[in-house]
Amino acid sequence: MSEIKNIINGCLKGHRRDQELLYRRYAAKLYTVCLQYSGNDEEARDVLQEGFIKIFENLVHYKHEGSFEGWIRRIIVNTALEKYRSRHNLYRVDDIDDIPEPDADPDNEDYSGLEAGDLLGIIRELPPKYRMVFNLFAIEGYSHKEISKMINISEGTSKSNLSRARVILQRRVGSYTGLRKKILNG
Amino acid sequence: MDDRRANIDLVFRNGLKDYEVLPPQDVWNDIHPVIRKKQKPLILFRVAAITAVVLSLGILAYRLSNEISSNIDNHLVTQNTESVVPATDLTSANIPAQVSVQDRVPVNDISRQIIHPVNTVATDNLKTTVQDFSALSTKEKLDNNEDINLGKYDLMAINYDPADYMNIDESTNLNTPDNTNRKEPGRWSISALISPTYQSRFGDSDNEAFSTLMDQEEAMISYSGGLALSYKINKRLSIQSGVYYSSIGKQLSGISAYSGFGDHFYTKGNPNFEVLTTNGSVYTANNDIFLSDNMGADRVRSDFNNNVFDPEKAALTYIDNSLHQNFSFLELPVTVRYKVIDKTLDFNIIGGISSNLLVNNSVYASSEGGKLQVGKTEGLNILTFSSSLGMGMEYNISSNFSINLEPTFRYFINPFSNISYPGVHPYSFGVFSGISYKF
Repeated sequence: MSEIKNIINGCLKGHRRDQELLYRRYAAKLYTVCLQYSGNDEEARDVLQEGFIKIFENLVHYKHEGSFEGWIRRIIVNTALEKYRSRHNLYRVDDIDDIPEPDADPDNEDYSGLEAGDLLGIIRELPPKYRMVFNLFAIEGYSHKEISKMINISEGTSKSNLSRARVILQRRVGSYTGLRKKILNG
Repeated sequence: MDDRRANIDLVFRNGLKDYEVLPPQDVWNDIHPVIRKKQKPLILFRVAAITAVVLSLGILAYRLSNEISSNIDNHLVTQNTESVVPATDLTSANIPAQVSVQDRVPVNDISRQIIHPVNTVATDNLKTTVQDFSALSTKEKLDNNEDINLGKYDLMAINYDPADYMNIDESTNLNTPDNTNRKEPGRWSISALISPTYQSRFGDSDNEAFSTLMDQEEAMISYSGGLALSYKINKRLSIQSGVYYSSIGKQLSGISAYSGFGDHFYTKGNPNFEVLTTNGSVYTANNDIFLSDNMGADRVRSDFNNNVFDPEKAALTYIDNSLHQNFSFLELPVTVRYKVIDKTLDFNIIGGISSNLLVNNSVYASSEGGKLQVGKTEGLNILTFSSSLGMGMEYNISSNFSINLEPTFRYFINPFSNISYPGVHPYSFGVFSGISYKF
């Protein structure tokens, strides 16, 4: 029996140690996902907490088919989506023209030197609707059709949001790399 | 342009692929109480369900026992009524026109004829005789005193001789149960009982070291069973002793066990690992085993810690995420049973003490359905004493056999280990079930 299978069985029996072991094993990886989908740390924390409660509640339904990490990641993403759906009326989708033009060269494709922490920070700066679509399409691999159902928008809106998200991200990445070059060149 | 945009997707996908950010420390503290709370109703529901089942069975058995008792009584009454029918006929039948004096039998003799029908008089004749007499009202016959001279005989004087009654034969069609060969069971009884057992302990929660270790240990469902001999002092009180074998255990969670360590290090004599438990230290006897504490509780002590040796890099074979600590005892209990309700379903209060002799002490890791011995717990007391209190339900299926159900709580007077933490007293709860034979 694999180690994770043992831990899952322990969790199903209500063993506290195995529950904590499962949490500690995946918390950091899943918290990154929560941060990707959330605009602030408080929201990311809530998603992680609610997501893990769902994981423990639904562990009995896990069939040991496919990747366990993939299964728990989907639960966290769905929790983030629920949070988003419950709050989306509060969010204002900034018009692309409202976003200040970064000091960058959009054609610059030299992304070297960008660290994961920088990338995470850039995604989190996206307006919520763009952030959701970009994460679901580019990171999770869902189609526009699936995304349209997930966050209750049309496929066209999903495509449009993705396109705008990409433009913003390119500009932001460009500004980061441009700034870095400026610093390096003095 | 599209390629460039797709490229940005890859930048983020690959860049964040293995990135990890530690969540705030207190998140787990908020998660655990919620999942624990959701588990609790389930546990309470199970306990309530078991209690309801036991109570229902008890009530059902009690009612059944009452019905059986009343049925037996009714049956006996019915049989007696049937046996009395001829007597009823004594007064209701008509007098035949001619009654031969020779056919008449004195009343006392009638009674004798009834109870000795086969030996003395043919049944048909007897019936006729009885009907003849029954047709006469006592007063009438006494007044007439002509054809029938009852004289000194009196119908009211019908007197069943107990000795004759006991000799009644089945051919009388009375069908009363044959009690002549029934032997009351003696004062002795022997029982075979077995029980699943839940074991835990009362401990000093203020003792931080103990609490830390206690948190990492889970009780395993154990079992106990054996033979008991009981002597009935009087109707309600009996004393019981016997020999029981019990196996109890703990699961030491969060300790990973690997095999194949012997290929990397070979030590002779000294154990490689010491594991701290609430029952004392476990020392490895199997040098092929590598142990590490996943929970960071510093329970595994060794020169070969994770900083020195990485079991994953060394490609050791992972076995289990926990160790199993098992103790077996030979128990010699002396208990007193007091019968509170004495029916077909008896209720007893049971209390006593037991001396427990340690006969097996092992720590193992589970491996694909098998057990891989790791070592043993040091410093255990060879002899421990426990007290017990329980409630016994005994359903008598016959005069000699009964089925027993005995929920029993046991409290260990001294701890398993002589180096255990102060104020730590194990206890166990089990529901013994089995069968008894009285002789």
